[in-house]
Amino acid sequence: MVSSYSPLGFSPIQNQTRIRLGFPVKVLGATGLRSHDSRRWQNEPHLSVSLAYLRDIFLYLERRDIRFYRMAGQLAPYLTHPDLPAFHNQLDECSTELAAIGDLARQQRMRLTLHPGFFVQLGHPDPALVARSGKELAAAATLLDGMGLDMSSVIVIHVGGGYGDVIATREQFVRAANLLPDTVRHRVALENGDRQFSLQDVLWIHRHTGVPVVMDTLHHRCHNPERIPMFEGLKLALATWPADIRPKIHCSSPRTAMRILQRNGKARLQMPLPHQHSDFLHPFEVIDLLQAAVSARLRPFDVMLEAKAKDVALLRLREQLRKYAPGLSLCVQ
Amino acid sequence: MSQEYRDPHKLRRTVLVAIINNQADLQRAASEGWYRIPQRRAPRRVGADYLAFYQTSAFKGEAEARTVSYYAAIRRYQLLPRTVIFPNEPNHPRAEEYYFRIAIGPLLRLEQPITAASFRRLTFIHTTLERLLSAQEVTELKLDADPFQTLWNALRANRLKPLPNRLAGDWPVDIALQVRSGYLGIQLEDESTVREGMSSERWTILRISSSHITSDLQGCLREIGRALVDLGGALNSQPGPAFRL
Repeated sequence: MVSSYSPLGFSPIQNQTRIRLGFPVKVLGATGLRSHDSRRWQNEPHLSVSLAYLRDIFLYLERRDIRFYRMAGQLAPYLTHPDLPAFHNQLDECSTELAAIGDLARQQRMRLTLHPGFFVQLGHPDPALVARSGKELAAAATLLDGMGLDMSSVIVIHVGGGYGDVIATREQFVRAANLLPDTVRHRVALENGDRQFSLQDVLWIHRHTGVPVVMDTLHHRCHNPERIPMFEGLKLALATWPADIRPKIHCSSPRTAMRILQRNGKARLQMPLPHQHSDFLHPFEVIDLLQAAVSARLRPFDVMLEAKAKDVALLRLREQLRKYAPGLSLCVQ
Repeated sequence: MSQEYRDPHKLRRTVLVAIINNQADLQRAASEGWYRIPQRRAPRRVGADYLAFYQTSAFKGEAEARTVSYYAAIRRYQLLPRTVIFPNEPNHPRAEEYYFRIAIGPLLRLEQPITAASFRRLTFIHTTLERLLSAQEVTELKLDADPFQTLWNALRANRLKPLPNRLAGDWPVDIALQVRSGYLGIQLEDESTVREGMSSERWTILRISSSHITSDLQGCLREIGRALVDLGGALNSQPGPAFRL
């Protein structure tokens, strides 16, 4: 029974799994849309310029009916850089503009998330780095609060390096996460790694912190020492999310093509590595996973597509779903 | 330029070309370092690294008339009510409306001004610094196919005689077609553009979005054809096959 009509074909079926596709940061489907002010500090980049870019991106996403987007981690340039205090007040300076862009996101029913840089490592043995990570997370949470976004706008982080002792690092992560202010901790979500900190590890951290788990399907294939089947892993990860917040997962396909790298003026062939993202998604793998979720009537969730072709990969996947899995495509936006 | 930190990606930086039609705005940009755009009528893209200025023919008698001669690095965007931007104009009809106040660095002069060869009304153009520094003519700045030109060419190809830049009352329309009862004015709209109160005697206004032209040109032509039939048919023209309803 089709409950609504959309020109782009998203017609969710009552009481079934609904899946929303999103993409991270860069827009490739339109010329000249920038994700953030990437000028170096000497040229005085500013959050307000990033927000102007973001507004333009939102207008593009509206036309494409894309309702899930990961904002650039460097949206507020040098916001917490210890040597550049001139940049530290950007959130206050942009309170009106942040509220306005948040309003626009809500009008468009858009879920926004953040993925800060890899230097955010709550499990690091150096307390100074842990403190810096906490500061970065607090700034990101303040930015999302400033936009007036609900708690589905999460900040996705990794555990980070193992530093020779995965168990100790895991425990250190738990201690640091539990010391975060509630307003910050409730925004944080944790992703499984592709070399260390498997799904089992992040589920363990979830049990000790309450931080929900973002399952990365490619990472799970690359590092799954416990041999948890993909679909079981998906169910376990979705179950870590509060009932009122829609879970999200990351989905990507491994690069399979040879690459030519230029180094010191010389060309060299590089074999594809399994943890590298491909340009587009393998449509049949995605269909298998999503079909299993829909057949099992799992709760609605969002899928962040981590493909190098970004929004173009998302639009391509939508077409492929319509062609190869028309029934499933009714459940996917 | 010496004040700008040089980085390898500089030429890929983005530029918003804005229209400036009076001395006061240009003076303000040069001496106070800002420009403003009404939020309600802002183009689909306002974000850019640089702001450049197209000076209209209001600068008649000056070498910069109908050229892009100046640009500046964008420092900041603020959303402010007009009354804050212009505190001495509290009774302005749009005093409470919000504007983008764009703070800019010092005005830089292009080595070679970019001229406008046609008299077509210009609106905001989004381009790259590379194009700004190398273009000779304004149309070279455009990154995407110009929807105006696409529609114009299609109308001509269908044996209509479009007229550019007519005024329907106080408002300019992009394309006009003469009909038995007056004129059909075609206004090309950005999705975010809102024009209110646009009506005038003897004019019927048809609004078409740029994306509609890009995605469904034939559909646009059929829409125009229907409007022409409603208005008694086009004068001085014999519409071609695309207008068969």
